[in-house]
Amino acid sequence: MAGSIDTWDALVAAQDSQRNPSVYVSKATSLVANTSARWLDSWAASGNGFDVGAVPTAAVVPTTATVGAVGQRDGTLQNSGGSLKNWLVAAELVPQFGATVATPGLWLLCDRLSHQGGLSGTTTGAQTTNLPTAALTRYTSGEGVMAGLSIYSQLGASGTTVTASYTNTASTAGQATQAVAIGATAFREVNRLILLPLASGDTGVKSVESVTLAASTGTAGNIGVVLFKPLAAFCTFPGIDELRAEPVLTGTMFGGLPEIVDDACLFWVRVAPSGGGGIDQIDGFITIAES
Amino acid sequence: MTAIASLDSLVQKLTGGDNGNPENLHWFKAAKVAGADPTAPIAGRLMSLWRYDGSPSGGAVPTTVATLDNTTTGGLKQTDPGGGRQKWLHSLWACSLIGGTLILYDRLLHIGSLDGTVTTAQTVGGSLTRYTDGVGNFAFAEIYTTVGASSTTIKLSSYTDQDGNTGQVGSLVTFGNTGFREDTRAIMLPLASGDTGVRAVASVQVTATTGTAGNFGVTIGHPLAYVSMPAPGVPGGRTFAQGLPGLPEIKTDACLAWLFKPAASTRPELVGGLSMLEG
Repeated sequence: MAGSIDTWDALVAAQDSQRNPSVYVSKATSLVANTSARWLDSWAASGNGFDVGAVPTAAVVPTTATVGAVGQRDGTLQNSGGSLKNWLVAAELVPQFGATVATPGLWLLCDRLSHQGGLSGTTTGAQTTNLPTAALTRYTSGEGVMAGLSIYSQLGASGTTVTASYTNTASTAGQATQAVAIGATAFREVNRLILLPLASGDTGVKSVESVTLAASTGTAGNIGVVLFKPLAAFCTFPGIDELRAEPVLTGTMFGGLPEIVDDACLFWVRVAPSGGGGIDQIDGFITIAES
Repeated sequence: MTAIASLDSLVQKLTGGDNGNPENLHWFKAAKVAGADPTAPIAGRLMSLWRYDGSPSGGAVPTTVATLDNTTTGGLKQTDPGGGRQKWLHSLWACSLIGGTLILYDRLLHIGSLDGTVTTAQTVGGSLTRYTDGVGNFAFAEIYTTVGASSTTIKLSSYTDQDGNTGQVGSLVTFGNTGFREDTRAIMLPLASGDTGVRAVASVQVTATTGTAGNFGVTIGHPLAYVSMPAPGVPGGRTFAQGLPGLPEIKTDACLAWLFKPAASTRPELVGGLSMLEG
């Protein structure tokens, strides 16, 4: 099939001939207390890394050219040419937490498909500021697209719940996500990503139309909706100070050999075993093969 | 029977060549059931994630006996292989708020609305549509609404084993009271001596009343893979192209679901992925 890599030797050769085989990665985030083992959105996290995205306001579709996307800073992630496709085939990553290398945890590489900001942690009732989300230009069916709330400014200490109204993969509008916690410890911190569980029967999201908090958290903060497609998981384990990951021979990269579609805005969802103090950082390269 | 014949074939199929139709399915589970907090799990005791909210969505409480497939809400809803091909699990990974062991299984049949106060045999019934020889199938009691605080026992009071023998009776296990009464608990039902699987369950029986009817059921499943997550936030994973026993098959119509043995009594949040291909 056009675009596939048909042999192991061809996979090796495709990396050598690719215009941008090695895409530099540098991401850092200041870990906040009470976020251990919780989902984190690294997009706007700052620190010693280079890939720092801006907090979104209006609903937009991020692309490869958006500041903060992996590969944007040095232009190394380029679209494939003609009928060819880009495949994520390997990575060489060094995780570090403060002065300690070999930080275990999950680095989940995703394509950031649509995002916005400006939602409030004190407003009850349906919020539509900067919504609906910008229409998907990648994975337009919504199949496998996840929706989450990214906390850009800390919310209040009062715990409540949140739901969202969305359009599912069948283009049915008005679907309601199941209620999940927001506000209070572990659910209010900057960079926290609160994933939104889908309505019964659903398997993905095309767009989000509104967000509703059941009660005020006490502080407005800043919340944004992000729609994203997970691509590959890099699992760093204790004692592993440099992860040379690929999915075929060593099986240390999970997600098969995913395609990196044109204009992809690559970013990281992080789960760290430790929270509080220090900079949680990952540096290295992801390897793209074009075929 | 088809197969992945070589490393070259694996690479080709993972990138969509040779009708590999790779499917990289990512999922998550929030610590909620229908938007509310379920009972906290019991550390070290098996639980079912069937009803946990997430993406894809959680499943419903069954009533009458039913077989399940890849369109059933609550399953991962992967696509079927085409063109006479088989579907294979290349890798899977997961990461959780708490440590523990995840079990991926094909959920074959389930029933609910069984009563924790009834001490006569309660009918299960139904006929499997996959793994019909019963070899390697397990059965477990799945609690949907907490049953009572009186400790008793439960057993498979009549089932058909892997050889087609009917009227088999399984061993008794604890049912009811703390650790064995909570919603989302899954209690494995042992088989009779010498048996290795279940083709059908005719009935289950609770020895004495637990004191509260609650709502429980019986689920028949076939295990596919295990993921060990050693600590909170530390992921686990397995790539089946390395080592034995090789790539597990994901049968056509499989209803993929999760059991979880948590290391702590904290409602879990999980995220994970499966990489599948055809051949």
